[in-house]
Amino acid sequence: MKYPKLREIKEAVTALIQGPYTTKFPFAPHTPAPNFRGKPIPDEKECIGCGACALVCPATAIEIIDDKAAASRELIWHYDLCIFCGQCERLCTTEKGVKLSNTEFDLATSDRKTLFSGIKKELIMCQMCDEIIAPKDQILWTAKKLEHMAFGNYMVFSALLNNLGIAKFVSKFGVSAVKRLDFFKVLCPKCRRQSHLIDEYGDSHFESAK
Amino acid sequence: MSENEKDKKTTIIPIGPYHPLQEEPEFFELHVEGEKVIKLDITLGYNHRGIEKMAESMHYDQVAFLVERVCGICSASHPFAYVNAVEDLADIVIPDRAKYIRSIIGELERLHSHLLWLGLAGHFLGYNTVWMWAWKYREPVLDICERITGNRNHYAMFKIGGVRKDILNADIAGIWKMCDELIKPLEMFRGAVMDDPVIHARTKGVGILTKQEAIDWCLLGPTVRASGVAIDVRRDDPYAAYNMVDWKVIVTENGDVFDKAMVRILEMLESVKIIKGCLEGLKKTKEGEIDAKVKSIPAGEGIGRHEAPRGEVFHYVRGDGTNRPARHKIRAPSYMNVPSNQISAIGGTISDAAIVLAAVDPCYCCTERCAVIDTRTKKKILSGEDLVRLSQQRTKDIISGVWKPK
Repeated sequence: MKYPKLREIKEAVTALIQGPYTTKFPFAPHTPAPNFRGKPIPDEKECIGCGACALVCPATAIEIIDDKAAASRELIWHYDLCIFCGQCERLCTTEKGVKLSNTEFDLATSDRKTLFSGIKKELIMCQMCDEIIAPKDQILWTAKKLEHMAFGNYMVFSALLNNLGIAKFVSKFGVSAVKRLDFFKVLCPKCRRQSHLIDEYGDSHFESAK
Repeated sequence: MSENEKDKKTTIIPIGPYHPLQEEPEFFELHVEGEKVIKLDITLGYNHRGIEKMAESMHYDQVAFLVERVCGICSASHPFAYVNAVEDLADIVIPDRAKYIRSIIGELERLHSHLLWLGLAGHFLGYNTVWMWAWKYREPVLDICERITGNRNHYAMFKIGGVRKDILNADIAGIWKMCDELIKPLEMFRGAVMDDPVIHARTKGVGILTKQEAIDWCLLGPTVRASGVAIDVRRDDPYAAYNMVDWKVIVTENGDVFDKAMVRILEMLESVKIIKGCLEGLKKTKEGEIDAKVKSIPAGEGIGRHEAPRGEVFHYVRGDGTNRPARHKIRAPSYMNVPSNQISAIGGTISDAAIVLAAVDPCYCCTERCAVIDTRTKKKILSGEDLVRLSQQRTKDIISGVWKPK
């Protein structure tokens, strides 16, 4: 009967000497383990704005807002919805676009509207129909991956030239532009197919096919 | 004495709908005569979140994160059973290293869950020293979890075909040391429960479930093993690395609260043994081989089971060849264990009822994911029988081809 109480006294005395086991967190800093999954921080430079992360996010915490008029795309990480699973980091196209911080975990706030971080990307639009083709950075990234083969695709290499300041994108062609030139426009896949059909078979055939 | 007069003599003591200690929504209505409990009404179903329906609208890969959130404590059990189910569906063989890592996470979860229960049990008894101790020594377990997976709970490790994060061989020594440090407090808990007069007085011979009762009520996990029934999915239907390491199933005979505590404490020591065996195994496999790289999930159906800290958790997944499950069904162990309070609590006193009701380690958020309630009248419009009938009808429709998953 005596031993259990002695054990308790021993534990009590050690606790008295060592002090409380709990950390003094808000007053003293806390360092999480190196593997810790904290706040995902997007990298403005490395992110290409492809939006793959938004597709795989299980909590739908990544929002994509496309502004067609301004030709820009915003990617927003909502930390109030985020579950810190790290899927956006793991499945990022460039593998560097977003990184989970292993130090930033203290996100508590009284205003959840401030809980986000976002980046803005320039979009390349179709010159015929004003449809979104892809973010400029994604096309440049693809061009870099394709190396010399990038010049097989007009859209990709024109984006490359544009980036170097050699060529300029014309905002929009009229539909009445010379048909043959349609091959050398920056077009969305739908318009490219259409212009190809018109070139091959003429307007009338295409109209009937529609 | 007529039924009416009998009712007048009984007093109803409500525990819930929000349990003051477990902090979960459930409602126990204790009908007592004096100090003695003569009848128990259990009302569950406050916790509908539509998890199964949500699973049908997500990719197979995303569902692993969803089922992790069925319960905060069983955040490895549900994804474990789910990936087992999908791997059964698609006939996927996972690499050995992934098997070891899965078992390590599963056992770490058992350790911290049992320590949490032990602490709560002490708290229920009014013996708060045990509570503080158990939760103090739970912290190092959570530290190991954080070190391996990147979070104290919600590990995000389970992936169809493997695991998401590797344990580096260089890290093994450090984790081994942390496991070694757990043994001393666990041995102390074994001693503390075995020879503490307070715990003896409060738990021995309280809330007894005999072997036959345990079998009749289809109980699971430590609840049934404390009654002398040796069932454990880890041994009976081996998955992951459980047949690759040395361990044994803990069984005790008496079926009272004391034995349930004993089973859990001895299981924790077995868990440390399994973790160490798995760490040994990790050294034999090649670093980085953690994923079977699954490309697609075919049509078909699969079942997955895992011995969660509270008992066997069961997942059923039906695929139709798309990238989303057509049907996902979850059965959590508390669903079987909670009704057994009808036997164990009756005949005891009110003060014992608090610990007896907690002895099965109930987890309501695991159990409850569906209830059909009329919002105007607040009445349940589907009874248990209706749900069984609907479920059987759906199964018949699937077999006959009348209903096709969308």
